[in-house]
Amino acid sequence: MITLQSSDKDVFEIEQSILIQSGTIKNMVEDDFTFIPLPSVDTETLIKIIEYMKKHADKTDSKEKNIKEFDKDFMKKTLNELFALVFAANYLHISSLLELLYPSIADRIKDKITEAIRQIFSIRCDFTPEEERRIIMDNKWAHEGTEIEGTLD
Amino acid sequence: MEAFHHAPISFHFPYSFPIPTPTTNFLGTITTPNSSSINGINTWMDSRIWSRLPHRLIDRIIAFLPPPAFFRARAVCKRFYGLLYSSHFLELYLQVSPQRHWFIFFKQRLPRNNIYKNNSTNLGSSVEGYMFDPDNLSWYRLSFALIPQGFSPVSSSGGLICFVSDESGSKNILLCNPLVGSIIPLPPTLRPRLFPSIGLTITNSSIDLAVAGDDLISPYAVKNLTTESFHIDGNGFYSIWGTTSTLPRLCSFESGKMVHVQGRFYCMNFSPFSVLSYDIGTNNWCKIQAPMRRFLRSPSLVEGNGKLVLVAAVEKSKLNVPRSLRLWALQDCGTMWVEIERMPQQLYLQFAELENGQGFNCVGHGEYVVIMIKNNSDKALLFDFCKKRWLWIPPCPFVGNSNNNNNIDYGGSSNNCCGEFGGGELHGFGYDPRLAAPIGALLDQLTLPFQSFN
Repeated sequence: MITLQSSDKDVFEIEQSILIQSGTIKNMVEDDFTFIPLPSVDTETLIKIIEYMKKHADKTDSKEKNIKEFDKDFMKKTLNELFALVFAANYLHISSLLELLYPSIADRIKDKITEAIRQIFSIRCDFTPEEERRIIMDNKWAHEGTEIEGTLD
Repeated sequence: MEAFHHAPISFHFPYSFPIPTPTTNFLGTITTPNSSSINGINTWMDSRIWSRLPHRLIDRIIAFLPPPAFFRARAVCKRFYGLLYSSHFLELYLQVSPQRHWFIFFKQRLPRNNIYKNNSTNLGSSVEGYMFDPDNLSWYRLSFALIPQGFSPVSSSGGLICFVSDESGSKNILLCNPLVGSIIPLPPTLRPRLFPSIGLTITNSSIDLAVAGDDLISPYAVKNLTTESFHIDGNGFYSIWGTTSTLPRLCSFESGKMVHVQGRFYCMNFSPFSVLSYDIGTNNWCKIQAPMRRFLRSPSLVEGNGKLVLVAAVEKSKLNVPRSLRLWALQDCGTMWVEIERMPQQLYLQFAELENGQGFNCVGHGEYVVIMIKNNSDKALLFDFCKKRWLWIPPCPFVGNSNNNNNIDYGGSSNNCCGEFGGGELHGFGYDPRLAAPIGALLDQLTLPFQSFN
């Protein structure tokens, strides 16, 4: 059993066999660590990560359909939560979770207007209004005919 | 940009940012944020996490955006704008971006009796393509302004669209990626032809093209005699119109289209109906009998989930078989067909009434088949192999209003259309919109002398 500690100082005891899905944890376990502090992952996110790893630890064929359903439901979270998961899964090197997250997030943001995307990624616009107008003109086709929305979730 | 507030509590609730008036008209309708979120609890985004999301991760998310979203995202900031030109990003994109089973349609050009109006009336109206996304039932208008006059679109593969010169003689060929505006010319074919049938298949590391039939045996006589093929691949094998092969006798290529399935090109042969099959590897043609060939009407060939599928209306007037529209798949043996789907009878009655014996065209891509009624105002069907679902497609909003760019009504209901499929009937092919086609680099090595088409 390995003990994980979140940034909020909550501890979780989990079987080693489940945790090795995380490349980072696997390396530390191989170096004989049994207590692993994770200062970049808060409790709430860590709980979800553990839930994911538990579900994916048992990969027998009969469970495959269940796993797919689980993955689909697992992605039904706010963008906030998904970003926190991306960050944690990247730090923990859980590639299967990352490969699930990237297209799911892309799917969530694909219909959003430019300004919403800036807010979501915390990006400052470095175009002048004229430049921005020009870019929109050049790619006019992408703006025609679609319902675009401005929520940030 | 407004500063974000940091809240000491967690942030689970959806947050709607009240967007100020839109800056441009091009963005279409903007749905108002969910009213419950405006009045309800506001949460504050934790910008600590979000601003820490490294570029590398953001890029991976962007690589999964469908092309319209990607091109809209280019206006976000200079870094996003430049991703299209970043070889590092494109490499990532080519690795992870999924295949999209979309379509592209073009207005049917003038009939093939070679009567060309003086192009002064067409000045300024360059070729337009109408891209269709069957997942979301949405249409986009793509401009092909860089394609010179005198070329028509004939096929598409690997994200590129193939244009062939209209004029009879040796044929000039252009491969175009409309999303980035690139054009790659191919060396012209060798034998003079009128309107040959073209087969094209492009992968990340190879290209195969076959040009068949309509040999000009004299300036005014045409016969289906030979096929020329073009091949280049990353392993260094190439064949530039070097191989020709003879066609089976008495074949007709009326549809002009060849469909690629697993290393072969197929096209429909008329009177009597049969299917011609061209093996790309061995450059050989053979004929395949069509199922129920005496009772078919309007047959078309499409690629469906890796198999060759024949779509046709069946009319068996003598026997007690109801009229229907059926789909058959060619089995692996290469000669037997199995019926895999039939249009539900209720729907077929509707369809037959609209179609009225005029015939229909079909195009397929992946799990989707689009059936377009000829000469009809605005009706086309979409069939999804996986979901076994038939849907009427909302008409293309850009057709029928081509001179009136600002007045496009998208409407809510597809029954209340002002766009048209017909009157300028649409024809098209499966199209997978890609940001980049690696085959371009291989073709650049051909180093053709510069050709001006004006």
